[in-house]
Amino acid sequence: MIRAFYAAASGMQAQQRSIEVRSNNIANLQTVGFKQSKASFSDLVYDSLIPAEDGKAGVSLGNGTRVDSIHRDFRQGNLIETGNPLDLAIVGKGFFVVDNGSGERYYTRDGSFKLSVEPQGIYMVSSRGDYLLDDGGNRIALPSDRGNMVIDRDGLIRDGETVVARIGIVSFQNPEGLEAVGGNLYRQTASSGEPEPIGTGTILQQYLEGSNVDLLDEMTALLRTHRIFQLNSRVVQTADEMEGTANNLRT
Amino acid sequence: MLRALYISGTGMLTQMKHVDTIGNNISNANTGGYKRDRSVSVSFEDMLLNRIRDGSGQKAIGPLNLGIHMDEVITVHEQGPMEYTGKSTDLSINGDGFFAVETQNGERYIRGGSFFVNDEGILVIGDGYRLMGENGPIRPGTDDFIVEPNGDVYVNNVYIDTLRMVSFQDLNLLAKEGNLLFQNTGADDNIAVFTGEVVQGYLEGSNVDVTQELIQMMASVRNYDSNQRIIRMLDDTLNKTVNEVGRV
Repeated sequence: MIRAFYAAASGMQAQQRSIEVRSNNIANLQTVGFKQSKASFSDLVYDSLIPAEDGKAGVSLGNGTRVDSIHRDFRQGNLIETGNPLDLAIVGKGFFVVDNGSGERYYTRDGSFKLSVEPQGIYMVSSRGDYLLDDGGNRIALPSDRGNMVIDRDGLIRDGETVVARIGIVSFQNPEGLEAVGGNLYRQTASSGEPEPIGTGTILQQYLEGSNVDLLDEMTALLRTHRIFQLNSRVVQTADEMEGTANNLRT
Repeated sequence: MLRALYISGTGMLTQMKHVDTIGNNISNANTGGYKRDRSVSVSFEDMLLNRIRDGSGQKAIGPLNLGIHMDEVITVHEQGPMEYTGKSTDLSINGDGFFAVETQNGERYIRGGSFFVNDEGILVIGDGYRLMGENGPIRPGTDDFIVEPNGDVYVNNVYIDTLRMVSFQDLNLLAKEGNLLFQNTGADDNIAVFTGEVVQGYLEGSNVDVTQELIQMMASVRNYDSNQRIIRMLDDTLNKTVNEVGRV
């Protein structure tokens, strides 16, 4: 069977995957702390029919394309002022560390925290109810009277003069290796490396980090991807017609 | 007459390979760093026909061609369009040249792409192969680094290493291996001094021109059809010769 048929089919498949990634980006245009992804492609192996010699290229035929990797782009999103004292944004690198209550740790850029009033104390939790952890890996319990509570750039939670806790911020050697598990959360993997605490001032109170999706970018990429999908389907059609022609060699 | 059948057959087979090449180009029209292939077909060498057994000794009639075959698939190393991304790990080359990559099969070459810093702090390409510097793999340890046009890598204004950048005397000796990697099938002296410049924060797009590819595909498909038509005609003629000539 003709190679072009499969090459073009692989092209359609790869462009389809790219459209899915782009659609997910656009769907998360307003998601706090969302980081856009991008599919990148590479060509498939070549069948070498005649090897190259001095001064002359050989004959090798390609087999199409594939999605090589889906890169997550961890660049800063826009900062949005909210006025809510429990809204935090990280400027620069790093992640908040949260605990889902049964000891599993996740990392997030979404700083829209809430309060959870429990018999043991009042805890800072994410919108999903995961506990925010301090730099020692413990849940952050707030005093019942929080009239003077401020959170400074270094993540120190102060109530007047007393320091209540310090929010833990960690970074990874290879953040692109983190696994997105939904709910704005990431999980550590072997390729992300170990979390390393960051000490410097990076937290802004009363701000949230918006999504870093650029709609214009997404739309132009979507148009181009769609067009190339169509072109590939045209090649599939043509290859099919050629098969038909071969089939009609004898009437 | 049977000769003509085979000649048209080679025509169909060759046009099919043309379309294979075009199909691969179009499927990689969105693959960053891909270089398009152009297939070249040539006719077989002419055969000289001689007149024999007519009493006049051997006398040349003239040349006859026995069809066509695919001779070369040339990779066109034209610059692709540069797309700005602003990401420090997106590297590409303006002008001639390649990045060197360490693989288990030896050194391979790549035009650029979305690289990343792995968990060991080493700059790698999508498949995990390490990007080579003059003194082994490049280890910036962070994605906060600067690459100068000549390939010098700086982290916090401190010089780390220089990327191993190469050009080639004869680009035809570079064989595509898939995964956007090229293999140098020539000798080591095929490697020349790097003349391009490294650009950071840009991705080089595919250099496939879809209009050109579609036009070539149309031409090839029509040629394929014409060859098929000739084969059918020959088949009809053979049918007459075999079954009808001599029938009373």
